[in-house]
Amino acid sequence: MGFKLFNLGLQNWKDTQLIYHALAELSIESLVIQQTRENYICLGMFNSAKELDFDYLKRKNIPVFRREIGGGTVWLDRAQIFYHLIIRRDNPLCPIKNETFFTRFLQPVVDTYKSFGIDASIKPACDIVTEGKKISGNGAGTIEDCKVLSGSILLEFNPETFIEALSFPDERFRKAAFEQMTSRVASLSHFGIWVEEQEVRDRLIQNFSELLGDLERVEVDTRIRKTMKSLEAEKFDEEWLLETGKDRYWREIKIAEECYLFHFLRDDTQVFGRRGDNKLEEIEIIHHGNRVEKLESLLLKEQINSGKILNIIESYIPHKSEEIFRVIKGD
Amino acid sequence: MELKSADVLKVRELEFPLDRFYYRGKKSHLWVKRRDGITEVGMDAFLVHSTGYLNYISINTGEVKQGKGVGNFESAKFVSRIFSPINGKIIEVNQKALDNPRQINASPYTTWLFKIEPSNPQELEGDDFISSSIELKEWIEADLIELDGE
Repeated sequence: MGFKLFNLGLQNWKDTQLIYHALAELSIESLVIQQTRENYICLGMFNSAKELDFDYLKRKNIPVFRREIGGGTVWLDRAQIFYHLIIRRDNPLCPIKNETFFTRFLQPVVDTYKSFGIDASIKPACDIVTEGKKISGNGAGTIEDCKVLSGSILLEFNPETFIEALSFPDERFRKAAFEQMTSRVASLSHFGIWVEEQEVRDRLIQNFSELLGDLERVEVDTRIRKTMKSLEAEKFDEEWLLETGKDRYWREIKIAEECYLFHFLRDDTQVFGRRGDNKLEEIEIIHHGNRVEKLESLLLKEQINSGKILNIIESYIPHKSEEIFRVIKGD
Repeated sequence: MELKSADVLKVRELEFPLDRFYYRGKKSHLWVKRRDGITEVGMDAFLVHSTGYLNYISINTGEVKQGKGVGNFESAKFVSRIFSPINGKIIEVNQKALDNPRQINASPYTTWLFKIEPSNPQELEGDDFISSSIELKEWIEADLIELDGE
């Protein structure tokens, strides 16, 4: 049996998430293409709910969902075309290695961008980039006996509301996040490409079918609806939403694969910085009320995985070196 | 305590201590070790090798059933399930490993993930469990070949 195609058009925000969870629960190998009617925020399985400003979300009536798969916290709106691939783990097309999973199943998305004249490529683990900008973020995971890929093509992107909805330790961090997101994330419109949504959907379907074989167009039937309904209680449970994520002792936000902002504050020590590709791009360390500029400049010269970073921090702030080291590495 | 090389099966660069069982049900790669009637569970070298750096792990507590999900781990934006190798009750979770999952990357066999009080003490039987070095070698080699082919 081949893959099913659920080309759903506009859906209410809850259903855009419940549908692929239900299809995976039911082991229905499929491709889902859809858009959300309402704006919402989606946390990855392990993202802390503390990343969000719930007062703001309540005021603006913006709902939140926690998906069962990976990737970061994302803003989802009408100006994105979502794609979700559900494949059985025992399907010979489904690789063991997650890296291969992403490269294999993101290729149809890359080809879709290319068909619009964008020289897109995959930046591991799972970003799609062009000209140094992220144009598609993705996440994946195992749900029951299936693996699921989920991502979107951005038709337009404005990070303003998303940044407002996030919780930051200070306004400087918020400003930096907004600036980085504005300069490093781009949509089709950013490249002057204004296309009909139908055209994007058709090309995605065409490119995925070249990899998966002919797709059988089907509707969401009663069995799937029933599974979505039963998942609703579980996925909208407050404990699942608020307590599943992992709290870190520092705040970190991923803008793109080569751009993570982090902030750490404990007792007399504050660290604020930006991590690039195995290198610090910016760092500010305040200890006992003073900048530790010598330490900052030494850290900026080192590769993060060089093994020297910990020793360098130890020689300046020994009692917090392990903690700061983890913040810098992001693990 | 370091194991003697004679007690360890080496398949390419991956090591598999022979003092425990390996669970392969639901395409898992977990090690399972009995100690004073309690079963310790951890990730084997193949899983760590094929997954890469672990970022997060969560484990549920309470009653568990063989082949049913008991937790998840995330590596490079991919969340994978951890399936219980046996029936029983999870009585302890290794919080240190959950707080710092890279411990598992560094030493998968000395970092257990959770402990189960088994419902049936004789349960480590059947095709899903491997303990002989010959079978273990065949299984790992087959999976490595599959990995190479990707």
